Amino acid sequence: MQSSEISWLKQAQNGDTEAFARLVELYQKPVFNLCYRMLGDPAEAEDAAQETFLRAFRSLRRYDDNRPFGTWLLSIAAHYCIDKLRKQRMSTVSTDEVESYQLTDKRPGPESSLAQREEQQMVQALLLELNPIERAAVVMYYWYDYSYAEIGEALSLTESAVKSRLHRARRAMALKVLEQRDQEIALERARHGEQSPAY
Amino acid sequence: MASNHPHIEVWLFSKDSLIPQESALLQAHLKTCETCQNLFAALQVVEKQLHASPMLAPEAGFSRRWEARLASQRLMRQRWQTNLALACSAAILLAFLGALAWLSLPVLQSPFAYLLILVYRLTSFYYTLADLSSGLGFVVRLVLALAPPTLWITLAVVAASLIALWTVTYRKLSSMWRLNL
Repeated sequence: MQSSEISWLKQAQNGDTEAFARLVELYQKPVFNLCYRMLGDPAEAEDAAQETFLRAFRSLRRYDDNRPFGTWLLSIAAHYCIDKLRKQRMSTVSTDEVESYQLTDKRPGPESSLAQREEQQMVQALLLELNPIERAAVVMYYWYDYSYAEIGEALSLTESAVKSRLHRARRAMALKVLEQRDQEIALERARHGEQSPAY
Repeated sequence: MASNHPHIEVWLFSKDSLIPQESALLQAHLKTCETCQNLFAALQVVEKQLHASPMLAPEAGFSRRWEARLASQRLMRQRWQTNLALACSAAILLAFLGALAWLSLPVLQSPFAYLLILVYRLTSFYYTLADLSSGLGFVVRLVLALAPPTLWITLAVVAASLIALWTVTYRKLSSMWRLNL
């Protein structure tokens, strides 16, 4: 943590809202990204990220200085999203309902934006195959490069439990890709069957 | 499609590095088993997609929205606390009025006897007060006769100075204590 960050944290612990707003500015992206990857909806992700920072601000006195602040925030965000998903049972949402987030397109041409959106939808569809804890573990592993120990600390799991969850998650996502590929092949065959002349 | 080779799946899906012997066995197996080959290819697709997926940012003005939300939550909490205080006060008042009504029920049933008792109590209270004031007047007159008026004035000035000194010292000490916090 940088010295300015430590100073903002100390000020925020004494109730300084503006100092905490600077921390919000600093950590908004990782927290929002985790919430979006977990919930799959930009509006819900915004709400969850806001709630994460509110909860963090309220329990700032309980924050352990020896722990990285980012990991602590992501832990709050992950637990909030897990609870929300469990309540809503969103894991049963079909892939058609996945809302793709409008990315700021840095590449020229409409195709690139479309391709990006499709990629986003595919990634979200894969994540929706997983239960909330597996989803959180995958996001922390692939987007934040967290170690098994860090993921375990954030999600209150043992290292072996994290490994096992990630193993199951990778397997579920690979099977989903195979299933999608089989569906595409079947569709292609059906299309060719319709087009081929009858002898 | 899941494979029928769970030990191979363990090697495929766990990211722990394999010892050279295990790695050779895995490679050999992948050459012969189409199902595991497909699973491996699918896993590679998954990992490629996950690694390529960017970190998403919220819309601009996130921290301002957070501050507004914090302010609105604080306002709501204050309102809730005010309403709770009002509700508690109303409940206490109602309980008090209820108790009063309960206690005054016999008075309403036979008011004359209670009126007589009240008049008797008020009269005796008046006489007690009159006795006390005459006794107190006697003591004051006695003390004034014992000491000259200049002594009383001096004592009053000393007492006022001590009170002023105590007040100033207390304020200074308490402000220093706040600064140390």
